[in-house]
Amino acid sequence: MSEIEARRLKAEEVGHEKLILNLGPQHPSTHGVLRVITTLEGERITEAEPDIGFLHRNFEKIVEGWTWSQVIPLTDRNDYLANINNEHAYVLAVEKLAGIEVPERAEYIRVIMSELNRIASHLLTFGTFAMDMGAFTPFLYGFRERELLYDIFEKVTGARMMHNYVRLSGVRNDLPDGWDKEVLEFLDRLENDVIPDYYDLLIKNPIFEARSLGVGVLTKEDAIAYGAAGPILRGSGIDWDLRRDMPYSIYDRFDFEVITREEGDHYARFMVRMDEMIESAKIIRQAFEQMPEGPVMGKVPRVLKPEGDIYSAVEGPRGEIGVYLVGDGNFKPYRVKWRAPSFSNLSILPLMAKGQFVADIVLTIGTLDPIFGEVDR
Amino acid sequence: MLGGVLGNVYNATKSLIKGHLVTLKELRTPKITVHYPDERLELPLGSRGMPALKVNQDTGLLNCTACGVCARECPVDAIEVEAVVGEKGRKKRYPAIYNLDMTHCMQCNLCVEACPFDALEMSDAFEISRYDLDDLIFDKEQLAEIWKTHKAVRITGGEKL
Amino acid sequence: MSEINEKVKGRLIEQFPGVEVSETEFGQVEVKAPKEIIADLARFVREELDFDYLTMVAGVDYIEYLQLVYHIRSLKDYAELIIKVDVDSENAVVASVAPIWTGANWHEREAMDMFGIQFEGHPDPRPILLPEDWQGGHPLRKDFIDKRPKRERQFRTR
Repeated sequence: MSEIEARRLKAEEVGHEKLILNLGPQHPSTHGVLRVITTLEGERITEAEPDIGFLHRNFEKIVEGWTWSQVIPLTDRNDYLANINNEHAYVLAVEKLAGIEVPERAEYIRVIMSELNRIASHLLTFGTFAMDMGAFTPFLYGFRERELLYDIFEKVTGARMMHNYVRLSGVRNDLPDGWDKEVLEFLDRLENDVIPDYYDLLIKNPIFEARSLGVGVLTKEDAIAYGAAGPILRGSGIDWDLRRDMPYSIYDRFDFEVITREEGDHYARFMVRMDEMIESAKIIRQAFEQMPEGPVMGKVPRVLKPEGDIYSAVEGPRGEIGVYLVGDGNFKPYRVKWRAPSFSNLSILPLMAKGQFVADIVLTIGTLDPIFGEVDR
Repeated sequence: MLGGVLGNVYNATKSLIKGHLVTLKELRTPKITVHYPDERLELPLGSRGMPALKVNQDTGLLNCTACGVCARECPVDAIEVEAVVGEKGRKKRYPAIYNLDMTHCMQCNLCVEACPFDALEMSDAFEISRYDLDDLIFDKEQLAEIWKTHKAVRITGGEKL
Repeated sequence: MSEINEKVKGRLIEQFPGVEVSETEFGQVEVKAPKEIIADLARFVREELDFDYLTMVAGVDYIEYLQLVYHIRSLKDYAELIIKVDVDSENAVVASVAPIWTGANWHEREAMDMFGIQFEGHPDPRPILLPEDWQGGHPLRKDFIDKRPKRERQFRTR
């Protein structure tokens, strides 16, 4: 027996010392206020336990005191990177429950804005994921494009982030003249300039590949069992997208592909997001071609007192944003349950972090892309 | 072994050069950063800052009739309105008090949509930080002043910008 | 779509004669089940009917009783199922479905925080969104009173 072998055996006999390392709640890599209590054995994580609720403000209780239409600005604050998608989810549920008709043109505008918001959100995820990896430059590139997109948003909605744009029975205002050209220009630039740049800058980099390929693998079975949503589900090889499989609004009129990747690692999830931006651009182009003229706001009943309950969902950038509404024939909602995709996605963290290096947990959080406005609600 | 190392070095150098070429390309593109207090972006029409009270240009009086619909519609109770009380305790159609609490306001445009009298507009005044919390409660004169000094737009639903 | 719903409805009535099965106007199968059979029902729909994707567990306070709403999707058959279980509000104990759908874990912890429903057989019954030492009651119940001090509103009159 060599000396090294003897030492190893002795160490095993004694047992390794466990170290408890606390990440967060204020930590630049956690994308918000997430605290993770990790137990380390050497460099490996044996247990990771997320502690959430630091941003909890009980959205669901607050809106019980508000009228149906007053809730819309607050839904923006749930997933603050996918505001239009959130508004759309809520408004769609109320419209279904109360039987409100929506004009054609408004539906198209909603789809265009939702898809633009998906692109904005994925651009940010591109940047933050690179920063989690230690590359600061791509972060600035991602943010620059996102800011330009927010300029485009501001021209329509009047705000950069908290749009409060979607209304019951339509949208707040029509698109300004010449806006569609600006969007199409942006999309052309995104497809021909920006995303190829991202490939050169980050994605083809050997360090990026080494740190993301085969790391943090999530199997198909686990992804379904945990109720993972959006790019995380599709990155694990499950061909599921609400926009195609259970079409809401007018998504059945567009021709687009659902991006899936079989590997289930960080790279797969990241690439699903990158490719989804191009698919979103496709949808926006088709929507502009098909969009009819007409009013953008229908008739809302003066007394809005829907009764009954409904679960309705839309596909946001992070997955299925579901709203469960109960109306008791009053002008206020009786119960609003917000099914936040990040909440389900983050619950996979203990499983994925187990056995990883401690440096990789930061990437795992980055690739799950939780938004704490909606995790904590 | 050596080939592997050399291959790695080659790959790393290649990707490094590629990355730097992207950065170099940016030398030719126009600058996007705006140095805010010195330079300013032109805000698009309809950019939402804080609400402002519209003034009738002929009479110099507010359009507001103190009906209180905006205060009721506000989700965060940021608006307080009281009508002028005239003789015999009758309420007149003019606000005595119109306070807007900018510590609560989230600039959501719902009050403008609710207003039936063309009295409220969203201005593009966004520089509303103050040293004192009390200064963030705007009264009717200040709100009218904001309307006069800033671009304001009224969107009530469905129109074209 | 509706064929699958008919099939699901048929299988459920066959297996559980006591439950109320209906279809909502939005194309979802809705099951009202007594709380005693929730574990069996969940296992049945998971294993026999392929409802493998639990999207949410929501509690609702109807004052006389609490209700738990499970929304489950079948990713294979593109079908949706809603299970509603009434729970007594005084003695709110119900079997956990976290062993069947792992993702129910956090959702049930949230319902535990917000409504005070105890889940039997839950792997990790701790508060999730509320602080661990929270004593103020269950916020989403209708009789909840917020005892924390209110922020004083300032109004200026001139």
